[in-house]
Amino acid sequence: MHSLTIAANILKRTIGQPKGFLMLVLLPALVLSGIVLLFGTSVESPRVIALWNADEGPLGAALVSSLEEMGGYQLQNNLGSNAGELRSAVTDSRADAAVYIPPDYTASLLDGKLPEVKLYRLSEQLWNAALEQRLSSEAGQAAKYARLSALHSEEGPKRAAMLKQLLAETNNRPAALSITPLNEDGSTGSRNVLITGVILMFLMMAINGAIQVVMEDREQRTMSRMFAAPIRSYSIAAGNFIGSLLVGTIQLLLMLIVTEWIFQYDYGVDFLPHFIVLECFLLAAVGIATAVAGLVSNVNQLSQIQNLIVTPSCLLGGCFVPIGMMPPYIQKLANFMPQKWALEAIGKLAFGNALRDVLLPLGILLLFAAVLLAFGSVVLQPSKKTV
Amino acid sequence: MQAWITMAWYELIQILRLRSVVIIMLILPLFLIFLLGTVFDNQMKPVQVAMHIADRGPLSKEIEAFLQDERTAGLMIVKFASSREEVLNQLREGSVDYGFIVPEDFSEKFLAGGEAVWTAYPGRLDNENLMAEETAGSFLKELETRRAIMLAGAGEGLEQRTESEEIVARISTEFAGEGKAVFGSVSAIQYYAGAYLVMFLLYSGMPAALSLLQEKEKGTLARLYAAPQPFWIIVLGKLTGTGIFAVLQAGIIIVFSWQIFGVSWGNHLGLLVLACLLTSMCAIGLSLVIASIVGTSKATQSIFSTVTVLMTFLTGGMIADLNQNVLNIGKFTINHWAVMTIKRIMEESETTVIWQGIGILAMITAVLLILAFARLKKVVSLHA
Repeated sequence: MHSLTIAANILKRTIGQPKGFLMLVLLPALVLSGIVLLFGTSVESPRVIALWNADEGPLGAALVSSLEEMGGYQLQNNLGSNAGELRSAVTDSRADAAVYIPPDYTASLLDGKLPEVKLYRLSEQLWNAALEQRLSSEAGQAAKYARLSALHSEEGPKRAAMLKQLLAETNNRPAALSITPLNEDGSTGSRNVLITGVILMFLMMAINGAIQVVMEDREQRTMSRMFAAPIRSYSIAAGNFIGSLLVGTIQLLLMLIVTEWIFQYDYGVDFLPHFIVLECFLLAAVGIATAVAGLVSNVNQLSQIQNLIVTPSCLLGGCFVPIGMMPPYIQKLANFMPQKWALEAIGKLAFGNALRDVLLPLGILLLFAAVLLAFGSVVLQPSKKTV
Repeated sequence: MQAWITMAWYELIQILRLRSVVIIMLILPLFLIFLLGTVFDNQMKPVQVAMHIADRGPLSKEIEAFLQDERTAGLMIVKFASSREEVLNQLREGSVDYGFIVPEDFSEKFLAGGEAVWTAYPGRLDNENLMAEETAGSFLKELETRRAIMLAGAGEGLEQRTESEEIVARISTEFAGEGKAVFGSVSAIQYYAGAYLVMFLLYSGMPAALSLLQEKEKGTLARLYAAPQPFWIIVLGKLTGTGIFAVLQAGIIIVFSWQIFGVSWGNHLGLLVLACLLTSMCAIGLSLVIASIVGTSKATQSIFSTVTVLMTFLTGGMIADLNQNVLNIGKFTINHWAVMTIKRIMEESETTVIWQGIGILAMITAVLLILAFARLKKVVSLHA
């Protein structure tokens, strides 16, 4: 009960005042909503591939139509009509990659030569390695079909007829992949990773603001008076935690409501499970903030240090860069970051898992919270050193 | 003159006394540069795939051979699963990026000349999905090609001749722009070294405003006014102290990253120092402007550091491969121009091009300092 009084007081002192409400609730919620919408609407813009087919035969055309079938790219054939122009389209970043099919591609294949389709890219990455894979398997098929046609006949028209027959054959009875999304709506939830990462970062920064009120109490020695009152010290600690958590929860709820209900942004996760995971993360974030606050002897530098801790821990936890891309020893380090577990839980939820499938990451988040809060509550007592 | 130096000296001492802050300000940028630089210099990682081959027909051996092929392994690492459920579980859990099921009747249907499919379950990551689909697709294409050749060439004995000749069609790939991708013309570690040098230079401009506000909050500002020196010399001294710390910090980051991580900072040391100084002055100006608006040291701290993180984020300091819309917004930040100038120095552009960058940075600095000067009264007045 006493804890609730303390918590209510914290609420009153932070977001209970117009200025505090503006700075701690409205502004972060709006900024965060802005970022979410900015990312959510633009992150899926497809990669641009500059394409030029200088070949007039069927094999060049077959290659082009095969590229058109691939998802995730946007083919453009107005960015250059020779190898040099295509290359500069890539270096000037007008295109993400470029494909050039040389003139007489079909004819020289039929003559038994091996003309090369050119791929220009900036560096080897998964998305363009996939493109390379597609090009080389198409080129392999083209070369074999051309060889067979060349063996079939010496005459041009007969060769062409044979090629046509082979290509038609392939199209009619394909050996293919039947792609079956795990989610009914076909979404894979990939865009969530970045947005969730940004949300986690801002939640941590927002919590830092709330915990400063507690620090103020310690600094101004109001906390000593609270400890002199006839209540248990754990009630005081609990009151402070509940208060900070409430401030964060209100921010979180407002942000979710603004983005989901007003701007109709689809996170790919249901509201309630999403909120539960973020709330668990919030608990861990309060834990981190109190633990850090407890360690810092000079209160003036607190927010600076807090922000300096938010950035690297988000980075290690995979908010900005998928953890899979990191070196193995860093991946192990990532396990000690609550962000990793929150991201994992939300990723799984977006991928069609139910809340009970993410109990492990949630449990780990709560464990983080428990350990850090215990640590923080020991340290966050009226200290003799603080002046 | 002496008062100015004394003020700067004591300001510097005060900053250096906060040991935990100093350590963080020096070690954290180096850690971030190292971490991001090594993460992104790594090679492309193969896709993890779970696969269940229910097919026991003649093609199953070939599938396995394909999967164990060295070329395939560089693109796709396969974990074999014993059932469809197992594939789906691994996929849901996230231990693999993609799932394939080769149905029982695959060989049969295919060899009978009909349409034959693998069931494919995409995972969470778009690029990984694409890669897995293309790698499996290339194998299926090979099968398909062979079947078409068999059917068309049968009777003439052409299929054996075609198959017996080793036709390896290659496509040529070229790395335009020397393989440096999202980081433009510099390497990953250079990119992040520039981004975090600027971010931490901005951070270290904050004490300028804080120390003035704290004098006011502690009531010692009146004493400074009482000193037999023009007040502006005292303020200038405080700002100089902050500037000296920023220069020290920049020097340590640059020398350490150059010697230990091998980051190349280009040949124009003088211009680099100038760019750092201008960035630091920008930060001092910005901190004073913020301080004059919000009025307390706590609010200044939290707003200034949030702004710094936000600006770094918007200019791609945390996620390099940001969307162009976001990066366009980033052009309105100090970080954008500072990082761009430092990048130009690193890649040893023409001196005139570097000076352009420095010119813009200097203009931003001038605007911020003029604003700060105009609003300084708000920060240091005794009765605000």
